[in-house]
Order: sequence, then structure tokens, then C-alpha cells
Amino acid sequence: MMAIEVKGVSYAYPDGTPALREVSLSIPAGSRTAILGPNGAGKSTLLLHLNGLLAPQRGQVFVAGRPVLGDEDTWVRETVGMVFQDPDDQVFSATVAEDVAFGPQNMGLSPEEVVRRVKASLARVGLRGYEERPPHRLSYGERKRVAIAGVLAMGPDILVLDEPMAYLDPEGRLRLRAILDELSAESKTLLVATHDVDFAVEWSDHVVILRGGRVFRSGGPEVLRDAELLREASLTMPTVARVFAGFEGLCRDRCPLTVGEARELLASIQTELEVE
Amino acid sequence: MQFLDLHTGRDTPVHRLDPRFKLVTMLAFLVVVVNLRQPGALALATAVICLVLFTARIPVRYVLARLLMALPFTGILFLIPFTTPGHAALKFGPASVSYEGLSLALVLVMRLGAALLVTTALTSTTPLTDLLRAMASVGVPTVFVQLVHFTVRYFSVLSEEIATMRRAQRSRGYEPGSVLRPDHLRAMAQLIGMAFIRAMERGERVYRAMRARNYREGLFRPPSRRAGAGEYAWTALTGLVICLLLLVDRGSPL
Repeated sequence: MMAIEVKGVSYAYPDGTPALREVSLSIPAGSRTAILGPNGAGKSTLLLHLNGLLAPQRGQVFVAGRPVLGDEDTWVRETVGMVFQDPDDQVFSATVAEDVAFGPQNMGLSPEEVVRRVKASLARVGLRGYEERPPHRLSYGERKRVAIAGVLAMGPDILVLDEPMAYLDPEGRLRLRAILDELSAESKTLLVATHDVDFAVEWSDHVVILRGGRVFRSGGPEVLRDAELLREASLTMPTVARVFAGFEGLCRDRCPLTVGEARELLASIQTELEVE
Repeated sequence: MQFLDLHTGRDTPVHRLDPRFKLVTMLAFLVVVVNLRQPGALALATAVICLVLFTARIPVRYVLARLLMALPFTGILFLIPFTTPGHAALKFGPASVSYEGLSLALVLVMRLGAALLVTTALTSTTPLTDLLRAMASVGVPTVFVQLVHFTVRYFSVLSEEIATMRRAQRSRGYEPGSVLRPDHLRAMAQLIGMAFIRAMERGERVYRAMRARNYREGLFRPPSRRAGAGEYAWTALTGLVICLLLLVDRGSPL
């Protein structure tokens, strides 16, 4: 079952700059997909097509098998939740509770159900008790979590996040990772646009690389092993892969990509040394 | 805009009133105050508002600071005694001050002061969110309420952006100096232009994010609180005070 299918979508901005050219891709339900690419590769433009904020000029987008037609589609906004890069663009209300309630209220839910969803969503992002706080006095990371809560309150099956780790401090990143892991465990489909290959190898199970508005390569995270491919896509190699490049003799069947794999390899080498 | 909700968190009878009642009664009071003609009636009105501010335990320093903010706008009032024709009270060479002008200036200053005290009493005892909701529920057009709301929400965001741009200018050796110097004027104009463009782009992104959550009309829902005895007592009291003021001022309530 595909959560999202993009078929031959092209889009050019009003000034004529082409942003997407014949993009086709499929996102399996329940997957953790990283959309990688340098700035200007078309990541954000692609994301805006996924919940009807932009309508494709050519091609079609299907969400859960239904075609997305454009701005009048309210169902797609309830199925695909969009978390924008800058929480100040998204969190506009005077209090945290009001902002989280914004989506559910637009869905026409009863006041009791709205209150219930606000509470539940704030609890999921670890912001219980923040209901009456004004967003402009929260930290950047907290505002980001308010933005996520506001989207979760609409109960989407698919969550799309644009550069979620940008500008977050280390603690903020850890918290966000924990939230993403929890959502993934609830079998939500997660899509993250990023140029952080280290995050992509650690987190994703599916990778789409964009380059100049086209899908350059897609597959499992092991595609990020290919140094030649990454150079062509203007991306860097994952840090762990860079460390082990040139030491292929040390690797078992394949060189590690993630910190966890690297530690396993080093541990086994150490055990061998001790035996000798 | 940190000063906005400085004293709204207190727990006094004035703070506890339903914002809708507070808004409507204080507006009615404001309309009456700015139409009073006798200094005596104005003094009485001022005393009443001071009593409200005292009950709400708003610090005197804070109230005075708010009054001082209006000082630049009172400059024109000092011309009135000179320009109003009437019996001369004082003479400065060719210029003379008239009695009529003096009393008119006094009334205008007192009206301004009383009006500012009323708005201070309202905004310092009501959190802005409640005030906006109250405005929406008593029929202030949504566009206007949203305008106020977005101004407050994004003031800190935009001022932070401008501060960052200024720091960036300084770090490349620019010292803001006289606007009369062409290069300084150009740097300032570019800063202002850039701030406008950023605000516009921000506006588009905010709107897009709102659409992503299925935004339609009407942001503010009326408060669920229901008016009790306190609200009706407050409204009756305001009505009585207004009648009293009009009696003192005009000799009849209408």
C-alpha cells in the first residue's frame, strides 16, 4: 500500500523558473522517508504538492489512492500534516492551546473533542502545561514542538517535515528524534526533507535524492554509500562512511554507515585483537 | 511588546470581570469622557478611573509611564492659549494668552489624560488574547481583530530580524550616523526596504501554513465564560457614574 504516489509532476514558478521536472516517486505507508538534495533541488516545492498547497501543472499526486486536486481539497490536509521549517511561520496564535486547536476547529470538530485533541497532542510532544503560554516567549525548540502538536491534533496518517532539525540545539534534536521515533512506532508515514545525510542514514528506511528538480536516485539508505553518486547530487558522504573510506580491508562484508554499525565493527575488531 | 501583559495576571475584582463587559463599559465611559466640557466633571471622571486602577492594584509608576508616552502628542495643545481669541490674560510682546484659550487647553489636556487612563485600565487588567476575543464577540470586524493580533504576534519576530540586520551592518564597519549623509541614508533605506520585503514574504509563508491546516474564516471564538452578578453590578455602576458625570457637566443626563 502506497501512502503517497507522485506521477510525472512538473512545476514552474510564476517567473518561469522550473522547480520540478517529471518527478515520480512512491512512498510506502508506514515508511520513514528522507528526501535529500541541496538547496534549490526542489524539496520544498515537492512537499507543497503533497497536501495540495500547490497544484501540479503537469502530472498527478495521489494520497492513499485518491488524487489531490489542489487548494479546495480539505481531506488531504487532514491526511497529510505539514510541519514547516520555521515555526514562526506556522505558530501564529496568541496562546499555545489556541494554536494547537486551530486545525481541529477548522475541521469542524465539537469543542469537547477539540479540547481533548489539544491535550493529547501537547502531551505527545512533551508540552503538557504549556496551554496558556504565548508562543513568542517560548524557545525555538518549544515553538517547533508546538507546530508539530498543531499538526498532530488534526490526526494525520502522514507527516511531512521540512528541514525539521534546522536551527535546533542538541537537546532539541534529541527530543525531536524521540517524537519522530514514537510516531513511526504508531506506524505513521513520515517524510523528512533535509540535506543532512547523517540524519538520513541514521533515521530513514527509504531515501529519495532530488537534483535539479528531478528524482536523481531512490532506494534504501545504502544508496548513500555511493561516493560518486553523492558528489553528483551535491551532497556530502555520511561522516561514518568518510571515516571508513580507504579502510575497506577492515570492513566485513560491507563498510558501516551509521554510528551503531561502526561501533559494532570496532567491537568485533577489538575482540579479535584480544583473542590474538 | 513585553510591556503589554505586564500586570494582567493579577487577581483583583477588576481583573476577574468578563472582558466583554469590561470592553463595552470602558468604551462607553471613554466616549462620555472625551465629550465632557467642565473641568470639574473631568476631575470627577479622572478620580473614578484612578479608583479603578487602585482597586486593580496597577502600580502608579506604570500608569505614569503610560501617560508620559503620550506627551509628544500634547505639544500642539500649548499653542491653543495663544491662538484662541478672547480676553487677554497674559501678554508676551505681540503674543497674548486668552482666558478662553487657557480653559480650552485645560479641558483638552484633562480629556486626553482621562482617556489614556481609561485605556490603561482596560489593557492592564485584561490579557490581550481575552481582549481580542472580546472584540470579536461584540462585533468588531474580524479583519480588524486579526490585524491587531498579527501585529502583536509578529512584532517581536520582525524587530528581531531588524536587529539582526543592523548588527550585520555594524559588523561590517557601518556606524549609524546622520540621516543627512547620503551613504547613511542609503543604508537605512535599504534596511527598511529589506524589512518590508521580509515581512511580506513572512506573511505569505504564514498564510500558506494556515491553509495547510484548512484555514477558513473567523479565527476567534467567543469566550465560554458567562456573565454573573459581578458583571451586571459593574455595568450598572458604570451607567450610574456616566449619568452623574453628565449631570455635573451639563446639568441633565442627556
